[in-house]
Amino acid sequence: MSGPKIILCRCEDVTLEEFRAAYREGFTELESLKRYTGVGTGFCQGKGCLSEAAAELAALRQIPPSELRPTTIRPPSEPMTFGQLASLEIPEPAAPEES
Amino acid sequence: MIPLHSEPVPSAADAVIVGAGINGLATAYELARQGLKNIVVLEKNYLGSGSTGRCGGGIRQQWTTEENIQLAAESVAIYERMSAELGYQVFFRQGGYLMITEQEEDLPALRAAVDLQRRCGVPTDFLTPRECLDIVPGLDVGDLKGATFCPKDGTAYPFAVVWGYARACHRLGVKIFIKTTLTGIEAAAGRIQAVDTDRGRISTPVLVNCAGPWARSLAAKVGVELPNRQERHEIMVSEPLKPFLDPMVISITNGIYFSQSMRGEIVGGIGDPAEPRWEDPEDFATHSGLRFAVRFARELTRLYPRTRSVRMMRQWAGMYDVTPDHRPILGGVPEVGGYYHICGFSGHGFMLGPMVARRMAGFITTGREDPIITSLSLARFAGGDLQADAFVVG
Repeated sequence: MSGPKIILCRCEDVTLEEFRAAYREGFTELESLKRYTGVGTGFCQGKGCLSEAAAELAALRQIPPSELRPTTIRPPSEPMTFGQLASLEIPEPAAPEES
Repeated sequence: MIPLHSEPVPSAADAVIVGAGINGLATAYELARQGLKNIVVLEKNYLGSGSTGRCGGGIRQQWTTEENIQLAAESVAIYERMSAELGYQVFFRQGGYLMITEQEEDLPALRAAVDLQRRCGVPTDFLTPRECLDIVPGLDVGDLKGATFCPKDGTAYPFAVVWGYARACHRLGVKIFIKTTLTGIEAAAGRIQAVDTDRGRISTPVLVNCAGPWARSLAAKVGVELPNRQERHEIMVSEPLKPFLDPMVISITNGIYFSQSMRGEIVGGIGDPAEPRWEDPEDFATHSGLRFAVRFARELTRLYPRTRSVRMMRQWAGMYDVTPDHRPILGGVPEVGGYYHICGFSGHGFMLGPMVARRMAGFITTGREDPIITSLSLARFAGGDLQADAFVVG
């Protein structure tokens, strides 16, 4: 490998070059790059890398970052144990309005 | 590998497939392999963005109807060679499926299912609760009444399967267009003539509807009324752990299922009778809820107490395209020549898709009658004599 190895996502051990290679293969959206490279799918759920990944994608596509859509934020915001979750009351079903 | 957004669609094709989930891509691949040229796949979002990429990745042959058992068994045979065939690692792993019940009254159905599956060549066994501990040490079998186990069932990584098929399609000359929306279908003289997209018009004699939860609204554009309804189902993954759980565990009592992926995460979900259903695709919503997380965690920690200290990392939701008998709708319709649907998998498109695609590609290219496609055609709902598959879980 030429040049320094730059880690983009520390949880899933994804390098900047792997991210760029995925873009060259045709994965040009943040949602599909996340799934293809694993960026942002590790323990921190993207808190440490998704903004960097978005900045890199904006540079690759030569567009302002404001034109990119962030990936969907998935709960929980911090990992919780199944024991903690199981101790909670079961909420009533929500009306299907929000998205 | 995938044409970028700016490229226009071709003005003519020999077949247009709508949907780049497992069924759309596998069908495109099989059609190309069987000699059809100029195949176009249209995907309104990204590869696997509909139901496939949101699914649990389970592949089981334990069903209660012969068509489902046969399609699943034939698909398992494809999965066993898929990484080599597609030239892409799809992380297929045969850890088996352990189907458990806590209700005495389920046992005759489980035993009957084992008999039927064995007659179809699927090596399922009936297990006592104590025997389940050999398969999953640490499972709380106190309330179990019995179980069935097939060691040849397994899991694969859904996105890898999608990407593998997409790459193989690309090698065979199939053109896949993502971020491309179908806006209209032209049918005349009882035949499909063309489709309109937001990137141009494609004249085509063949249209294959693999649109998953959007299949019903697509079919309506050519006047075909599907009985499918669309439901939200939720799912989650835990933090990654060293391998400790071999099979998929699935309960026909309360609809929980969980397995360990090759990334080490526990992947699982649980059915909820209160899940919303929609008529109009505009109303589809795949938000995640705390209700699911708590219901899943309660059942998981009750059945498998050693997971209490494992952390849930991420949850999401996807859509099931559910038919009245929980079996897919395959084939065409007599009124519109060149129109075909591969939909209504009721939550099981990932496990049945590879063989459904192979059979449907044969049917489309040769027109030769296929007994499984005939028995799973839309026409079956007109007769009113439905044979539902009983093992619908999740």
